[in-house]
Amino acid sequence: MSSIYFIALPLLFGFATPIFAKFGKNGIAYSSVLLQASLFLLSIQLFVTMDKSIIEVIAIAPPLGIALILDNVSIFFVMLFTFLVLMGSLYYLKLREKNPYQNEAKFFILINMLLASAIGLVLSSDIFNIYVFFEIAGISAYILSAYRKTPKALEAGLKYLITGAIASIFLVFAIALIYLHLGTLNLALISQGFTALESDIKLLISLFLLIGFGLKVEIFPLNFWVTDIYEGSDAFTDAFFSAVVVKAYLFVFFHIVYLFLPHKEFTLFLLYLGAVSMLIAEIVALRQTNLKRLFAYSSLGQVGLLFVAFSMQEAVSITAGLYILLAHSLAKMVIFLSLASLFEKYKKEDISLFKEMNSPFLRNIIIISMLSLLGIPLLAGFVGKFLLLKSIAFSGLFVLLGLLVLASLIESVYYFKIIGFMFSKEERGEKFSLSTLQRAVLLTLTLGIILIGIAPFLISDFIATASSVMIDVRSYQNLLLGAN
Amino acid sequence: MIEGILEYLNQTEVIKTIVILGSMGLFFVGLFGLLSQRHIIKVFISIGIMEIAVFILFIGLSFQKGLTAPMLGDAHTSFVQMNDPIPHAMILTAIVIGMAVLALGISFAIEYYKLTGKNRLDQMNEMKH
Amino acid sequence: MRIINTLLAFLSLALLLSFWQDNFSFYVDLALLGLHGVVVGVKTSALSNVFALLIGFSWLMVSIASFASKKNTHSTLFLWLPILSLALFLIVYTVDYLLFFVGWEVMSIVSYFILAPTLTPKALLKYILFAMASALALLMGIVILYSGAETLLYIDANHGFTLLSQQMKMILVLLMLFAFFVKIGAIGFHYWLVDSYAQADDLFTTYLSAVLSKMGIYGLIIFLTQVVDIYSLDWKILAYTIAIIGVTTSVIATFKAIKEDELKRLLAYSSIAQLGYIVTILAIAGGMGGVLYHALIHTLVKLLLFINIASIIALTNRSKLSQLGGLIYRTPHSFVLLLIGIIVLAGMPPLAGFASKYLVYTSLLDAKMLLILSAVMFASVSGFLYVYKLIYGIYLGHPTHKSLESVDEVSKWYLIPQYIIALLLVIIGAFPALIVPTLNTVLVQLHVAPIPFETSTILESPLGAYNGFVVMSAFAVIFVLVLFFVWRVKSKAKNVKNRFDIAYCGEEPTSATPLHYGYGMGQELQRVGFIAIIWKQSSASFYNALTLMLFSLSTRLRKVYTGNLASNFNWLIIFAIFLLCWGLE
Repeated sequence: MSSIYFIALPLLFGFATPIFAKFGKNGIAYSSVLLQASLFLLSIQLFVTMDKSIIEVIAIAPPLGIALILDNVSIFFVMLFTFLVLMGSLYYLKLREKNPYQNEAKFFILINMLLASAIGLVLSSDIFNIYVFFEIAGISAYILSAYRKTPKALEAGLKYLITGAIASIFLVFAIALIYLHLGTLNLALISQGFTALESDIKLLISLFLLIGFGLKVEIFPLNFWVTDIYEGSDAFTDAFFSAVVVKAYLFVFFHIVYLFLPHKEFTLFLLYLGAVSMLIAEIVALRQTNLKRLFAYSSLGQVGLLFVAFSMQEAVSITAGLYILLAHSLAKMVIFLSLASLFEKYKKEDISLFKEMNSPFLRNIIIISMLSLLGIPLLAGFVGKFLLLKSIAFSGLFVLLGLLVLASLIESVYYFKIIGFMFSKEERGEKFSLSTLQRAVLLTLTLGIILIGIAPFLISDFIATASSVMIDVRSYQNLLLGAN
Repeated sequence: MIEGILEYLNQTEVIKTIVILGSMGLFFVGLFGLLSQRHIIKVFISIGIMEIAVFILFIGLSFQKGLTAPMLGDAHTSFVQMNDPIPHAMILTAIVIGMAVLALGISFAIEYYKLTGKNRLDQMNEMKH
Repeated sequence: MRIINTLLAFLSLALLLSFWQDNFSFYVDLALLGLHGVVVGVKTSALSNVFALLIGFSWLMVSIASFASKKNTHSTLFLWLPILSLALFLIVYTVDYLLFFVGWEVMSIVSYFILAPTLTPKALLKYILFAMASALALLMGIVILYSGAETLLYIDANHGFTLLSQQMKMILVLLMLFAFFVKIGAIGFHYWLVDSYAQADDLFTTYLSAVLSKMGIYGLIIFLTQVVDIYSLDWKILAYTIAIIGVTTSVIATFKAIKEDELKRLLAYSSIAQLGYIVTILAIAGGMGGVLYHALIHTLVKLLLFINIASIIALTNRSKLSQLGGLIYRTPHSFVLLLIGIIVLAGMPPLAGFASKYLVYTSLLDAKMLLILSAVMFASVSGFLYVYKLIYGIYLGHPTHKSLESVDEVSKWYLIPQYIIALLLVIIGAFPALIVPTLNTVLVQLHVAPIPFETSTILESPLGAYNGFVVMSAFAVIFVLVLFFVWRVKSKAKNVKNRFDIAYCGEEPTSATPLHYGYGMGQELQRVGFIAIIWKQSSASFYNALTLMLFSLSTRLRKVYTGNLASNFNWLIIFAIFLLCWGLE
């Protein structure tokens, strides 16, 4: 079984849409869901049968050619992304009956492009390929955020596009410098040669990489654009931005950091950048009233937390990071998908929506997701948070520990403000119930949150291996170069 | 005299210096435009200039004197005495992507202008919460 | 729903009592999670059994009382109460801090969902923020402790604690104290407590006061005795500080209680004050017996009082002292029960309250902490005022409204648990040493001196013995004599109908015409300077200022996210240049 299908099939889907359109008006939608479902099953099958990392060579063997690497950590992301996109698409099947996007074929093409590029980012072992997928993900995200063509959506799309274009300039710059000095684009070769570079060049490359990726991974102070994008776009697309796209960028960024720049000073800088990012995002979110924007800030905060987790550069903290990432993706998917339905129903995006909301199912689901984000025990968020705090304390970074705890406290202020609204005794709006399919989707995601929280040992082996693979630069190099 | 100048300019170091200075100059022109201009189209132009500067830098520096373009043709039947093809391939890809992004951006800008009549970055403030 | 709940409560209590002597333990290794060397588990011990008994008993009493109200009044309560109790059992039975934290957090969140339907948004937010702050402080403390000990078990924690640097030790102690003081409602951290108690479902307030606040005490006992050796010389200053915090809490809360007009707020402050005593002697070597004794008695008495108040509120729909009065004729059973309750609460002989207060005083005397002793006595005596206010305002004097003339006795479901508790209190009053052997097994487990006693009726101390039975008998004789006298007088008195109109000439007393004694009772203390200061001060202003500060910071930081790309690019460049300079260095 080949890993190239994860990239090729969703991209090919675009070309095949005219054929699918022949199957009636739901043809494209159903075929897209079918494709994603089969990709998800495929990833599971790959995961089950995989006993060691797989390297997939395209055209010429590395270091000259292009290779995709499917190891324990990338299969984690592939499974996660295909699962989340599948869930989102299933949810959209019902959402579209009330509030469809215009020109749906394009919309499905874009979602699949997003999936393909997110997986491509994770699988690529070649920095230029990363750039290409970086751009594909970017372009599909720009169009998705501007899809509704309202002034807000277009503004969001424009802002996203401009910052994205700037990010890509810096990334190309960094790649150019790397190639000029090392003569290779292969991640393994770069990581071998990188330490021998002059320190000025190293600095310049790391700076450009930081800016290029930093703009995309939403880290302070490069995340000024993020909240506008989330607010301007549909809640439905926000679900993908928050749960899929950012996670892909984040993984690639830290993969590159581990491979090229494992300097103690640089990672320490990232560590505190993450903590500050989290703290600031949570403080700003305190007074936020627009829900999409509020959860955008919460995403920024969680990304900050993930930054801290991945910058620790220890197997335990990366395990923690993967747990947090998983929990956050599931929870944000639940929240944004439910918001998409709620906005459509109650025609308001204000925080007072939750006073009006009259749907016990959605209330419970959203509360569980938010508690998980807060790291309440017996829910998915706690496992990662505890492991992270533990590894921070073991490294003796007590100030950082304090910062994170403070940020969590501030985070709980606005989450509980929202939950308080849900229990408000004011008169409720119209009763609202979702269709069975949508309920099933949300329930699946929420059960995932609960299951991971109650029985983290179900996946702990897998995640522990994934994190040890992620940090093991040596075996990555061997894998990539040994196939020569 | 002119020949002397041309001779001087034909040195690898001199060419590379010119490329570096020129492209960096271009880059900072673009950066200045990005920071100083508010009109969306001008911002896109600035971004385009910055992109081009990076491309020129890359191509210019990876070029080696005396080698030909990496193409097989009438006189060249094997891959010898040729420049490294990878930068060219990369930059071609990057140019295409960059153009696509800018085209997309301009189409957004036009739509946005049609809807709101706004065409400046600092006017884009639909979202004030 | 409530039948299942009651059955569960009964079952857990029965299980607890039948396996009282048996030792049970269960451990899990968490190496799978990447937490190498971390073992978590549950284990029965004397200490946890005692606290579990309090939980199970309170749960059962609250469940029984719940049958009094109409069907669906407390539907969410019964959904959550078993889960809450389970979390509490987890807290007391676990042997490690990880499960302790899980129980602690579940307790806070489940309480939140129980409180959510009845509290105002502000009170609810206050509750949960303090609970979260407490939980996060606890989490941070646990993680710091873990980094020293590399294990989370209580038994190894002491060793790990000694490995920490002096500074970290101090931070850890402060964090843990904060976490537990918030739950107890020590002064300054009680900001959330009174509102939550006052607005919660009446029966849940009972549970909150009787059990949840005890979890703070339990946490303190474990932390201060097992992890920090609080009685050692190194921590003398800390111990003294804790004692002072405890006694300050008692004094201030007592006076706040005196001023209160609302029944549940009054009792909430009283709870804070009583827990203050416990905290005070917790910090004193030799005070552990008093801690356990007083915790036990306080749980019982608060169950009794809150159920009593709940029954009165359910009966009259009035929750203020100034709206009640004269109910003794209508609800004599409740009156007697409340009388027993307040005698215990005030710590007067002959009932069980005296024995516990006696232990508090003697342990303070033993430790030669005379200043603190006098403050405790002062608070304790001042406490008479509010307990008197309580019984007078509700049952004595004249009714403040016509409707109070026509109520019937409260539901028997309220009376049953109250009678059970009152009976226990009387028995413990007569045989104060009856429970001492059980408590002594706990004290032995904690490696502190046991409570000296002779027979089941006599509590000993270096200062002399207290024979509960003799005192009880004497009181009983006097009581019978007085009763006889009253009966003689009463039989000659004329039974007046319509006392309301006679007392107020047909007017209804309001705060504008404060004819009823419930208005302004205790207000005369305003003239005492320091009491006036206590009444004027509130921690609210501090927390409000904190909120305001945070919000203005939020507004300022919001400027980062203006969404104005043009200005943000400047920031980007500044950031890049900063990084470049930083990197070049």
